[in-house]
Amino acid sequence: MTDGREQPVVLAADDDDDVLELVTFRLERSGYTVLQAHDGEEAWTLARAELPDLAVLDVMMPKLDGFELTRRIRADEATRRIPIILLTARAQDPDVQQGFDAGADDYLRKPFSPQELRARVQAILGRR
Amino acid sequence: MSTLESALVFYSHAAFVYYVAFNAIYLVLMVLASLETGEEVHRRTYLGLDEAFRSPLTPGISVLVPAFNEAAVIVPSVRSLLSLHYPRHEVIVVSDGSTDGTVAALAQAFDLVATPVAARDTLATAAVRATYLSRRYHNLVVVDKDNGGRSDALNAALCIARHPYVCVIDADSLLEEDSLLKVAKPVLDAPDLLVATGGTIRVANGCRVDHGRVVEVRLPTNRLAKMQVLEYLRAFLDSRTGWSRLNALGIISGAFGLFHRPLVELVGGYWTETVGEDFELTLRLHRHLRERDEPYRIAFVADPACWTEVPESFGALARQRRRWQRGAWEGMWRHRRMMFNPRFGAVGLLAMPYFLVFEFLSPVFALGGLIVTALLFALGVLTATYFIGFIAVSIGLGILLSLAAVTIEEFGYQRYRRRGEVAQLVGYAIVEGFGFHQLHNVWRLMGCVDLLRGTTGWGAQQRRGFETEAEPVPGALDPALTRSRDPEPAPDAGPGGPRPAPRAGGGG
Amino acid sequence: MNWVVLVGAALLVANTALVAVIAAQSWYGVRRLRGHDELVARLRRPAVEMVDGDPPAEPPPLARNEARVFAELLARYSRQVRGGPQERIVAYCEAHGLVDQELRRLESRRAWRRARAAFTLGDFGARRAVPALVRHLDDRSAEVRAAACRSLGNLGAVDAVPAVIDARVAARVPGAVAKLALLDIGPAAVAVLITLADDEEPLVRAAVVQLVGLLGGAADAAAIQGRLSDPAAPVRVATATALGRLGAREARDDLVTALADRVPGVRTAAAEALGGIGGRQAVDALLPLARTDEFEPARAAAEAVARADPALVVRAAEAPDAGPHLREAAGRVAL
Repeated sequence: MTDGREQPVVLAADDDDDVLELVTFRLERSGYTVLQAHDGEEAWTLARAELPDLAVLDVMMPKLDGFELTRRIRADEATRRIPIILLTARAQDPDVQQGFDAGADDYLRKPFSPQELRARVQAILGRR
Repeated sequence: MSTLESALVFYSHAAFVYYVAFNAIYLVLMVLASLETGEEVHRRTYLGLDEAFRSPLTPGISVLVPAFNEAAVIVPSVRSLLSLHYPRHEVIVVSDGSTDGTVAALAQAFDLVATPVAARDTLATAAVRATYLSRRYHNLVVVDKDNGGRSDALNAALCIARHPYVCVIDADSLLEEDSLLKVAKPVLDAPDLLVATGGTIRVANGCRVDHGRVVEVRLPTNRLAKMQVLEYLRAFLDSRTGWSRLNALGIISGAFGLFHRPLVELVGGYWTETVGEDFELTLRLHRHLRERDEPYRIAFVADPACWTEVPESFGALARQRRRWQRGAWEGMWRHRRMMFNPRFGAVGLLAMPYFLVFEFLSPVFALGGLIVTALLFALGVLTATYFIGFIAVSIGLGILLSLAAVTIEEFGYQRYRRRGEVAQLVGYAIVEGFGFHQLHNVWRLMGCVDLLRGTTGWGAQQRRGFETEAEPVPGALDPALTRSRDPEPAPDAGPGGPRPAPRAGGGG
Repeated sequence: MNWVVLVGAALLVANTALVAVIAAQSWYGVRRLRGHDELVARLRRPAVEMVDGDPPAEPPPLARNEARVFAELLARYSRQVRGGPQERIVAYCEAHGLVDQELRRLESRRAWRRARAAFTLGDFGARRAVPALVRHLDDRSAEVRAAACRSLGNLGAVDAVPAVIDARVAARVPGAVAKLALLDIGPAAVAVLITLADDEEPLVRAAVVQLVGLLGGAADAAAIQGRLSDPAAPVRVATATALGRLGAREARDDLVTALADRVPGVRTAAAEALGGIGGRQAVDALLPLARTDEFEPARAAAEAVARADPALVVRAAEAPDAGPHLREAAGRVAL
C-alpha cells in the first residue's frame, strides 16, 4: 500500500457490468478511486501493478475465479496485505467457508446494499 | 423397355418418393423447430436462471470429461469447466490411458495429489491406475486409468460421481458460462419427469478462444468447416429441436449431455462395444423407461451451446462420418426390437425408422437414386421434365431446408454477426446440395462397407446382437446390492486391445 | 410439364423469400442490437444516479425507446441490490406508470406477455401487484404460473405464502420455483409452514421440513424433531437434513438413532447432519457406518467424521479395515 495517495484506491472486479457500475459508482461517490477489472486475470494484473488499498472481488469470474484470485493475492509478498471483500451471489455456507479459507476478510452476498458495502469498506480501511 | 431398364426406372421413382418423404418430414421438423425457437426467445426474459443459480436446493452436477491424449487443450478446458456458472458442481477428468502427459499437465496446473477416491462398483471398467485430488480446487477429481475407450472412461467417471446428475462432454468441448445452468433448467423444474437433456453443438473453428471460452464467434476460414457450420445448424440444432418437441429425441450428443446419474447406472452405463455410445445410451434409456411405462421426457435444449472443433480435412471428416454410420447401425441393431414397435411410442415409430431409412440408408436412395436418375436421363430413358423435377425435390427442397435453418438461426440466436458471415451461410446453403451432400452419402456408404467388411466384427456383432437382445449391458449390477470398493483393478470388461477414445458421434 | 414448372417456381419463390427474410433480419437485427447497446451505455449512469445517488437524481425526460431501455436497466439493477436503491426503483416505476403497464400486460392474451409481465413486476418490487400475481398462480400457462410464483418470492409477499404452498401441492408450479419463493419470503413464512408440518401428504411434510431447515432458527428445531420418526422416508430424510442445517445439538441422540434407519437415504442425511453437530457419541456411531455401509451412507459418514474430528479420521483411515471412504476422507483432510 502506498501512502501519499489522495484517495484510497479500491480494485473492483466483476464480469457483470451492472454490478461493476453499481459498486464503482457508490465507492467513487464515497471518496475512493476505483480500478475496474472484468475478469480474474485483469484483476490480478491490476492488483500487482497498482497495489490497491482494498479489493472487492466477485467469485464467479472468467479466467480466474475470486477464490483462486484471493489465494494468489495472499500468496504474493507484494499484495498479501491487501484486504479483500468477496461480493458474490454464491452464498451458501460452504462457499462462505471457502472464501474465508482462501484468505478473504469479508464476504458480502448479492443482492447487496451499496451502502452496506461502503460501510464495510470504510470499516476495513478505517482500521488501517 | 428391358427388365433392367424398368428396374432402374423403378429405382429412380423410389428415390423420388424418398426425397419427397424425407424433405416433407424435415420440413415438419423445421416448422416445429421454428415454433419452439419462437417460444424460447420469449422465454429468455423470464427463464429464472438467476433464481436457479442462487437457490440452495439446486442439485449438484458432476461434469464428466473423458480424455485421451488431450495434453494440449486439457488445462484451459478444465479451468473453464471449474469456473462454470453453476452453484454446485464437480469436474471429473478421466485420462483413458493417455500417453502424451495429459495427467502430468493437469497435475502441474491444478496442484494434484494422489489420493484414494471411493468408487461405486455398479459398472465394471478397465483398471484405474491412480486417482488425484487438487489442493486448490476441491471439486476437481482426476482419474488415470488403463485405456478402455470413451465408454469405459465415462463409466469409470460415473462410478465416482457424487452428484445426482452428470454432464458428459468432450475434453476439447468449450462450454459457455451458463451452458450448464441452461441445460439443467428443464430438469430443475421437473426432476421427476426429465431424465436427460442435450444442448446444441456448435462449430468452434475460427472462433476466438481465450482461457477455454469462446470470446468471439466467427465463421471458420476453412470451407469444409463452414459447410459443417451450416450442417450443424440444420442437423444439430433444428432437427433435434423438432424431434424433442415430439418427445422422440433419438440422440443426446456425447459432446454435451446431461443425465440423471442413477438412471444411467441402472441401465448399465455406457456400452463399450460401440463407437456410437451416445446414440446407443439414449435409445437404451428410452427403451428402459417405455418398457416400464414410466412417464418421462428426454429433451433437447436449444440455447445452451457447446463449441467443438470439427474436422477440416476431407480425410478426417470422412473418417468421422464413417464412424457415425457404424455407430448408428450398432445402436439400431442392438435395439432393433424398438423399430416400428408401437410399444416404444414416437421413438420406435418415428425416430428410429427415420434414422434407419433417411440417415443410414440414405446412400442407397439419395446417392444411388441420383446417379441412376442422371444416368437414365443421359441415356434418354427419362424425360427432361422428370429429371428437372427430380432435381427440384432433391436439391431444391434441400436448399429450402438449409435456408430455413439459417432463418431460424437469425431469428433465434444471431451468433454470426460479422459482416458477410450470414451471406456466406446462405451461399453454403445453396451449394451444399451440389456436392457436399453427395459426398456425405459416399462416406456413409463407405461406413456401411466398413460394417460389412469387418467380417469378424460383423459376425461377432450378430452373435452379440442375439445374446444381448433381451437385457442391458454386461457389467451392470443391482444397485441395491452396491457395496463400495477400493480403486483396485476391476475384472476385465471389454475385449482386449486398446482403442483410442472415439469422439462423439451419432446421427445428425 | 406443368407440375415441374409449378414445383420449380414454388421452390424458387420460397427460397428467394427466405433469403430476403434472412437478409432483412440479419441486417436489421444487428442494427437493433447495436442501437440497444448504445442506449444501455448512455443510460447506465443516469440509472445508477437515480438508484444510488446522493441525492438520487431524476433522469432527464426520456423518449419512448429510451424509457424502455431505462426500465430494463432498472429491472436488472433491482436484481443486484437491496435496501434503499431497490425502494427507489419501485418508487420510480410506480411514478412513471411502469407498474400499471405491467399489470395491464399481465392480462394479455399472449402467455409469453403475461409471463414476462409477471416476472418484471417482481423486479420492479411492486408490492401492490401481489394480489394480481396470486391470481395468476392459477393461470392456464405453466410459465406464467412459475413467473408469478418467483415474483411473489421477490416481493417478500408473506400473505401469499398459503397460496404458494397450495400451488405447489397442486403441482401447478415446479417445486424448485415454489420453494425458492418461500425461501425468499423468508423467516416470516416459517410460521405458516409449521402449521402444515402435520399435513397428510408426505411430500408436503417433507417440503415443509426442508424449508424450515433453510429458514428457521434454532428454536424451530424442536418443532420438527419429531419428524425423524415419520412413517414416510422422504420426510425423515428432510428432517435429518434440516436438523443438520439448524445445528440442533439437542437432536443428536435422535439423529444417532436415525443412523440405523433401514432406508439408506435417511442414514445418509443423518450422517451429514451429525457431521455438523459433532460430538463423541456421534463420531463413535458414524465410524462403523463409514467402514461398512452402502456407498452413499458410508461416504456421508466418513465425511461427517472428517468434519467433526479431522485428526480422528486420519487415524481411523490407517486401520486395515477402514474402507475406501475413510481413506478418501482422510486424503481430503490432508490436502
